[in-house]
Amino acid sequence: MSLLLKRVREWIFSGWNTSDQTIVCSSSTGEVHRLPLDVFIQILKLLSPKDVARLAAVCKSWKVMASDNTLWLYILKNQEDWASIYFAETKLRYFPLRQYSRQTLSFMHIYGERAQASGAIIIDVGAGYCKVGWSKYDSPSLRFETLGLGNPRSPLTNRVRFFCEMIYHRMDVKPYMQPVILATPIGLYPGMLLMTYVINDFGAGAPSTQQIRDAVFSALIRMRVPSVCTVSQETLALFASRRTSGILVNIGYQKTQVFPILHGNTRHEVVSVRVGGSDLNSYLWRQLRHRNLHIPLSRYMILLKKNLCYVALDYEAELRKDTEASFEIKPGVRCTLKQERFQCGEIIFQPHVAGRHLMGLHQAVAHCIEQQAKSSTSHSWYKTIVLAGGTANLPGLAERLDKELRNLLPPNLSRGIRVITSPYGADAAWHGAKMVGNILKLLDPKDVARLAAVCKSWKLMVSDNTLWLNFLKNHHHHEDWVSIFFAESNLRYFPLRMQVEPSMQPVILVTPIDRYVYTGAEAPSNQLLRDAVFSELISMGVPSVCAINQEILALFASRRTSGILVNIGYRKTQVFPILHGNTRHEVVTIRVGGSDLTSYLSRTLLRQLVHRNVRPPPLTGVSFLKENLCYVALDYEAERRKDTEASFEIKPEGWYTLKQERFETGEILFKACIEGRRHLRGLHQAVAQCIERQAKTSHDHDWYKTIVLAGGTANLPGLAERLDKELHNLLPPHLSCGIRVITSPYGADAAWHGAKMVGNVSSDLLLVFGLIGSPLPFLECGAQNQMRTR
Amino acid sequence: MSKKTLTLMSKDKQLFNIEEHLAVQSVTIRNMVKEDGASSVIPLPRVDSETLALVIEYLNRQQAPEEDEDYVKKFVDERGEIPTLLELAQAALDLDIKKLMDAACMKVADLIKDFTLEEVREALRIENDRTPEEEKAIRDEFQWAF
Repeated sequence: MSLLLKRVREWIFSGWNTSDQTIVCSSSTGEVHRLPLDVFIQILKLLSPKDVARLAAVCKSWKVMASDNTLWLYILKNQEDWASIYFAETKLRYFPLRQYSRQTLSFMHIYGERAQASGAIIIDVGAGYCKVGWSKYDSPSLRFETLGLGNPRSPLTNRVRFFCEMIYHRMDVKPYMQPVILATPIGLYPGMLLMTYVINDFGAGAPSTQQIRDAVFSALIRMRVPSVCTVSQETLALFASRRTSGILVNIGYQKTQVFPILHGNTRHEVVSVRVGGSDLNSYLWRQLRHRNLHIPLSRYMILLKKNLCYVALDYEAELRKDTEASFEIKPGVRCTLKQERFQCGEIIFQPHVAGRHLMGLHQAVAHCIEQQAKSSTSHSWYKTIVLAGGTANLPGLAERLDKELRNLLPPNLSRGIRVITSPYGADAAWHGAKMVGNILKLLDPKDVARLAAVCKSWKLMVSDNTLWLNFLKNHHHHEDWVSIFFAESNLRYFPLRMQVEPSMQPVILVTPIDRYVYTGAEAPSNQLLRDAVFSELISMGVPSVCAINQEILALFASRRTSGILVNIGYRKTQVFPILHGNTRHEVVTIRVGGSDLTSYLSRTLLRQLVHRNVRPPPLTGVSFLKENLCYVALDYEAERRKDTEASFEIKPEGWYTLKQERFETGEILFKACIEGRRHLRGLHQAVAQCIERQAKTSHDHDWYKTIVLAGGTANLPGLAERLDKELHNLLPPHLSCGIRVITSPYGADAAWHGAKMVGNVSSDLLLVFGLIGSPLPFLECGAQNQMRTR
Repeated sequence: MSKKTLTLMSKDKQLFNIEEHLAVQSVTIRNMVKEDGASSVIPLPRVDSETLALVIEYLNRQQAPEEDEDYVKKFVDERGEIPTLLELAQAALDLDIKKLMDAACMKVADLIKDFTLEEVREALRIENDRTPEEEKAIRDEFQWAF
């Protein structure tokens, strides 16, 4: 014996040199460095997962070691609830398309994808309580009563809005930009929001689920949540107990529902019993009151129920036993219960105990199983029964249900029945959502599209428009999703005038705003000009051309279809009233534009600098000065008395100092007489005139109160505020109230950005989609009729 | 009571003496002593003499149990060279001295953690066997880690 041991020991101490148990990495000098395998694995386990993944890039053999499945299994097991991860990755990620095969499952990649997932905010609206939290958290971080949210008489959308805002406020996150997400390497926006909803729980006359969902969607989108996704509660609760098929029994606050769910689809035969957790609470309360024990209904009943109540396996036998027990519900107050301990739970099986003549839970489940047995071809899925909901945690409930079902059902159906209590109780749906929230977003859009084709309830979830907006956002980083949303909802079916040839690469032609001005004998009419450009483009083989007026596009760019657009162009300023994307006839034009401002500034500079023998800056330099130093004074007279000196360096000429020219330049827009043109109106007068005319002719009385400033000069600081002030002075109160002056975010490029939206949405121009952002041959006829190619 | 002494032999045939009650901190040696008394020299063909000297130094420490943790930490901290630490970890693994093994691995992990890839390759004398394209591909694959 000892000889044998000795031999083994000798083998251990000497023999390993022959067997290849070390990783061999050859160095540049040909020297072989041997790194002991066991030590290496030990070291990797001590490192952070990110470091391990980084080390995979050191050399090829290290990658083999660092991506070892057992190592990552060890890491994943340390991180989270491993069983849930495994279920989510194998069953939900490719559900129901692909069966997972052991060979392709790399735990390293699973970890990586999970690390990248930004997570989601989950809102689980139950009948009694609302559960809210991050999908990366262990449990919901907020829990409050659903009832009493907002004034029931106020409109649904307002209440939903209030509700969503409250959630964001209480979770202390900004809806559109969350710190967790900023930390992710590819800059994803916050994850989708899973909103579970209560089916049929609003009674007659209440808004339908569809209406509620729409209200929630629009409220969230207005709050700039990037995407919303809804999954029904019962499916999620089933997922939480790591199953995709089975019979889910949800013992809710007001009622108990039995859902047959096959492959994640809820089948139609849902059985519902109007007995729920609240009935148990009130029964207990009534019993205690009979014994002159007055305890507030809400919180203490739940405590008592949790700590003392159970379900008897045999009700009659239990009645004969001594079951007295007591519990201290608050310091100094002990509460003793006798047969109420199990009578309370008995309500679920025999509602007549509480005076309700309804069927018991076991009958409902048996009924559901029998129905499924008749209609289903597959014969074992309905034998798994999962209990969820707060009351499902009552001890003995699963065993009792099991026993009752075996009594009720014929042997061929009762054989193999399993009753499971969901590990998460009332939070089951929340935990299921957590699983989905941590994986769904990682799916490739193509995978998601294929999923929609296979399965009914997943189609609902998967074909959700907002989910796809999220994909759009992730795959086209240059797209601003607010613009996409505006374009999708307002522009897709907009009456666009299109001329389409069999298409390859369409062009959007932005027609010049000048068309209202080219009326002189020598200038071509706008129509002629457009026709000429069209024929030229078509002869060049351009497949399709679409012409839209610049002012409309500029308005689109600030995400509006109606409003008054003020375009401060190069030579003149125009005020366009635009209603539903159509320019109305009453366009007001002033012959003051950006060039007047620039020339005024350069003349003033010239006059000053000649005295001091300094070289005046070139014309481009003057534009720089205008961009960097000029502004519009809110009160011109008061500004003149102030010291407003400031300087700016133009390379290579040097520093230039401006005093009151800084605001006098912008003042030209309002008082053309400064520049020596006495007879012209100011910008505010033109806009006021336009508004007054529209007020007379239009039935609709709000659209003309939004004024959008576009054009290069519109970026002058203070311009919007000044115009707002002047308009309030000029207009009568009923017209001036509610007026809003907005500066277009894109300045001189407003029309281009508007065209970009149209180009991306128009179905005939789909090919443009991938091209926008890359150098797309894009023609813009500017105010000077210069052809620019972007 | 006379203290029994054991003799350990390193890879390059050097002999080291150590008292038995200290040597049995190594589970491997303890098993051998239990089994046949180990009167003869114990050969350690995978441990070189410098490393074995370190191990002997560690085993000979005279520390109160509550200061032991700090001592082990200090012991590996003083040997900050990665190759030395790896040898030490390997020896500790062979001799089954868990504390020393854990401390040495922890130290290496701490050192590697802040290294760039080039520094890791340099410290462990590893050649990068990937082309720049392959390097870029693997960086893309594990983008989340960089």
